[in-house]
Amino acid sequence: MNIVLSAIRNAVDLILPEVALLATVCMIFLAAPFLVSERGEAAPGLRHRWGWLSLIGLSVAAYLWSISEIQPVGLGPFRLDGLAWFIRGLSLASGLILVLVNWNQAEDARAGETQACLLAIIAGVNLVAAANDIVGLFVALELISIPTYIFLLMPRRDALAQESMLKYFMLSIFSSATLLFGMSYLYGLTGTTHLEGIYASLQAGQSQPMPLLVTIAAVMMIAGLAFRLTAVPFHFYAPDVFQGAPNSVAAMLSFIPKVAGFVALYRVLAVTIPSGDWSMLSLSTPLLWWLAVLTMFVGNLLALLQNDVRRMLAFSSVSHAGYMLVGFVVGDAGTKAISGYDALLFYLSVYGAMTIGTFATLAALSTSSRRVSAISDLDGLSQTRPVIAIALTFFLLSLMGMPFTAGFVGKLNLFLVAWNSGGDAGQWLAIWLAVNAAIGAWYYLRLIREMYLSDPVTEVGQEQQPAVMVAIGLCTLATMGLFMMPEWLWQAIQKV
Amino acid sequence: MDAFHAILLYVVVLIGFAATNLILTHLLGPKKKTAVKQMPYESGMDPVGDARQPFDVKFYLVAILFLVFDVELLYLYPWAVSAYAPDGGLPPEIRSTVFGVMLVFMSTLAIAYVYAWRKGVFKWR
Repeated sequence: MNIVLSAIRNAVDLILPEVALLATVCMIFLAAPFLVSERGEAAPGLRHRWGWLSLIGLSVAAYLWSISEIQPVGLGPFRLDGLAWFIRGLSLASGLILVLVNWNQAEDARAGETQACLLAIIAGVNLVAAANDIVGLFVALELISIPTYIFLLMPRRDALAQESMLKYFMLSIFSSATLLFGMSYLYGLTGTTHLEGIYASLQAGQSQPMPLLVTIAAVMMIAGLAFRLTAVPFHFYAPDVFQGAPNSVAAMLSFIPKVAGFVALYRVLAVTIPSGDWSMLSLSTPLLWWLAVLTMFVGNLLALLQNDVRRMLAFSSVSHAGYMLVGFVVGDAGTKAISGYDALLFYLSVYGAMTIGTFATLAALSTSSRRVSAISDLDGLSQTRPVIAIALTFFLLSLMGMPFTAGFVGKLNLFLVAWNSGGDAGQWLAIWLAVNAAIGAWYYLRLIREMYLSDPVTEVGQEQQPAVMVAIGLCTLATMGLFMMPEWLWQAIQKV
Repeated sequence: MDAFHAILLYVVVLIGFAATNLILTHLLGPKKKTAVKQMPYESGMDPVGDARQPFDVKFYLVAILFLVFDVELLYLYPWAVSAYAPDGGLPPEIRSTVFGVMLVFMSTLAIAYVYAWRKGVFKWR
């Protein structure tokens, strides 16, 4: 019976970083109500303590991650393969930056809960990557969603924040139900919830014609996860939610659900069968191809029409989901050196740095009484806040895909893998990607023009926020560094 | 078949008890017919009128807290029943580990309880 004991111990060993994160979450939730009076008053500066505690928790998790080793996939509830290792590193790094962005977003009495929710979300992403079972996968996805609802409403409680929270809540539940529906069919077909068992059982059925149920399962699961990716036609919530959400939450929403969504999509669809009719991937590739093209076009074209910065960035986030879907559609194909998945992972990392950086600059410009919302609020930013204007320009250029930024390398990789993937479908995908990159340039350049060529109209926040400035610095460093030395990231991706 | 006689008897007693009580209250109970007492009872709500009337959010908080511990009990039952069963159950070597796992599970819920208590959920105000 020592087998059972060692199985429990092995499972815990595989998720030590998440245990550290969730222990920090419990600590914060236990201590927070004792430090805040019943009337909601806290000692001034309490948010700094929560910020440092979150950073310590994340650092412990990062240390545990750094000493963890990739292990062969077993029969337990968790796995630690190359992908899980990479995603864990990525989410912990983005978590460190998000804690800094979130530092001053909530007042002292509520700061503890917001940071705790953020840490729980990071733990959820890690567990999505580490899940070895579709039930575990779903629970981990919910561990991202449920703290997100609280996180959306905690820092600010005005009407816009309430609208965005309720919208996200309703649609997120709907998407979870869709995903569960697909998963239940997968379970019904294969008789197991274990991922490796599902692969093996699908492989065993190769010789017979594929039942329609596999198609239904694949389509429903794609629909459920497309919500997380903000892929068209499940993107409708994005602009409203981003507009109403606090800046740190918008930064998190533009990146973290995409990471979890792509990993979950890979886990449930990209089965280990290289070819054959039963592969759910070959079945869903045409669907994903259309999703990628539509997502790119809808995101970019609607972003052209926006007058609110956060709405524009929400549609920009939609279009970037489309770019990343290109990498997913290409899949294992691609150039000799890199596959579509490699290009996707590279772009995902780069996108995290630039999108979190963009929202961090907005957080630095907003005050507790007034937030930057309309694009005209940024008029003449080069005169009022020159350093922030330069940083924001840099992030926007990277989102656009201009040379000397990491966004350029990322887009180039995606273009190359799509072009070389063989077949007309891939080449068309590459062409649409290039066309969209050109359309996207328009609205990013519009923001830059407002910052440099217009005179200041509205006053922007002038208070110094060191934590956010550190976050902006780190994002700039990552965006610049990954252009100069992309091989540093490639080495990590090679382990996947 | 003998085993089922007892159940049949039980069912008869059960129905008889309920019916007797209903009839007796109907016959013996005092009846003061006021307008409010004549209303159909619907959990304290006015049964006629707009269904979309707001009611206090405190009800939701209590309901959610109740659900948390209800579900906790749901998880505890199978373990409590099977772990120390006289015939079989969990092997003695792993009992203490599993007990530790259950303690971790309950302590996370206890943290939630402390949080709710400190936030004043139990104060009906």
